[in-house]
Amino acid sequence: MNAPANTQALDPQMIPPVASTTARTRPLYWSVRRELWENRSIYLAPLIAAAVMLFGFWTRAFHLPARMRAAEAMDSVTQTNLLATPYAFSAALIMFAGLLVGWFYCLDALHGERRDRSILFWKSLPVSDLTTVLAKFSIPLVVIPAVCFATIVVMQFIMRVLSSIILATNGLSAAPVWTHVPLAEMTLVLLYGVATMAVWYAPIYAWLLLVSAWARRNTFLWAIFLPLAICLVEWIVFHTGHFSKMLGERFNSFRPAFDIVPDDGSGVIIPLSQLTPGRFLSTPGLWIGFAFAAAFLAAAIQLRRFRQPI
Amino acid sequence: MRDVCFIADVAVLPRWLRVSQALDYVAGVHPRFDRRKAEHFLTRTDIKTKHKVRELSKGMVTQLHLALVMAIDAKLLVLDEPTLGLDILYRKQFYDSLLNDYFDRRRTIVVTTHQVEEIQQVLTDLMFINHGRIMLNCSMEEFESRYAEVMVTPEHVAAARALRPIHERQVFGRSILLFDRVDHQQLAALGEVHTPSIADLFVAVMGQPAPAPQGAAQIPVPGAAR
Repeated sequence: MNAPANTQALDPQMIPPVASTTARTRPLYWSVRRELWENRSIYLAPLIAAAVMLFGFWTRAFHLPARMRAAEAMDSVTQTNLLATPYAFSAALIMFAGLLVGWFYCLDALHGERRDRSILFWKSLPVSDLTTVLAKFSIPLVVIPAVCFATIVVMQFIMRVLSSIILATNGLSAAPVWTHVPLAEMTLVLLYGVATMAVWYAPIYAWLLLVSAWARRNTFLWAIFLPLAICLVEWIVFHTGHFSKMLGERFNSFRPAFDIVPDDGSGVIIPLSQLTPGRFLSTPGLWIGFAFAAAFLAAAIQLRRFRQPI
Repeated sequence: MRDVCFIADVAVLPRWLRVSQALDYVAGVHPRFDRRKAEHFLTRTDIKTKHKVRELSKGMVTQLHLALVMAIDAKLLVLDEPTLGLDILYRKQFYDSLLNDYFDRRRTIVVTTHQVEEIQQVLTDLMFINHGRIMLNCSMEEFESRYAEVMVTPEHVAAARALRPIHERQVFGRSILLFDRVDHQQLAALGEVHTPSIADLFVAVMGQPAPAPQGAAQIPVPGAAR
């Protein structure tokens, strides 16, 4: 790892011989790292979104003491909502930012390398197409949700601390912040929500990767209009809307994952009791989605093997 | 891909890649990559590890790619037009590096290039193939002894043409004739004699009607370096 300090005219004897023993390699790990080097938006977008949320929260927090005093007259639910809405809202926004980053990342993942011909460099190294596509698939499936989760947790912690400071300096008790917006419970619910959403969206990510491997131009248009075309054809020919209904369900991971009961007194905070992991795992849609994701990925791998640079 | 490496074109390194990242990645992914050797090669250049590929000139990108490839212990190296678009210094350095630091008798390097004069020095044999037919097949020694190019003074042109050259061209009013298996003493009387370049011989030979087919099925290229 140390380059020679001074470089005299190099003669062949000075050049260290190439090691003939083969070193252990970690292609998947390095492929994922390479994706992070190339697409800094993977971690920058959630961070920037969190910074914007924190800034907005901070400017509004100065009104918090006044609102707390008014809220003491209200019931528990309204109090909870008053305190907790910013947390839920900011978490949702960061998740949405993560989703957008994931979708646009997938659309470009196997397309950009063909467009700038760098695929010829990547394929000159012993990293299989399977490893590469799996590394790219793991970004929206694992990395982006993990980054979003960590960002939200830290951001919400900072929000709590900020609220506590502002309340305390105004002579109010900071306890409601920590009791009505419970840290541990919310973190668990968040983790569950992030994980189920990532897993539920797997076929969407796989579909986007397939389109990026296949299309020569306009990957976004192909990705959107092919499913829309199927919906349209089904409507025109069969007068049914099964495909569009299935698509709609595919975008909503809360239905199978949570047992949302409106007006049960908890407001915007989802209590642990509403988590339904068993039901989620036994939903046939989940496993059908996995099957489609596997099929799309297999097709993407085959395409990457044979497609030429654009 | 562990034993084979190729450089498709100089422009294929991704522009966002940093030199240090390229070294890390290839070291992490290729079992036969020697990072110290690659860094050794890079110390000879102006490339710093914090540079991104988009900040490097075309010649420096080639140097970087070659440094990475030469640090890989591959049995076969395939280079497709590696010096296309490079200036003279980089081109010369490219082949010097390749042959002095990388090539040993165990390895095979396959180079495609249109700049025949660059590889002329390293050839041992020469073969011209046109649509599957071998137009010429000789060793470099035979090439040098057999073919002669003469820049003929105007008064000797008729005599020169009588010796049946295989090709004639005019350059700035003087005739240059290419002869196959004609005695050099005879030719010396007619003007300056020297060995033709492979490119000129290629033009001369490819212009002739093809000899009887000998059954070689390969793409038409002027030669191959081993």
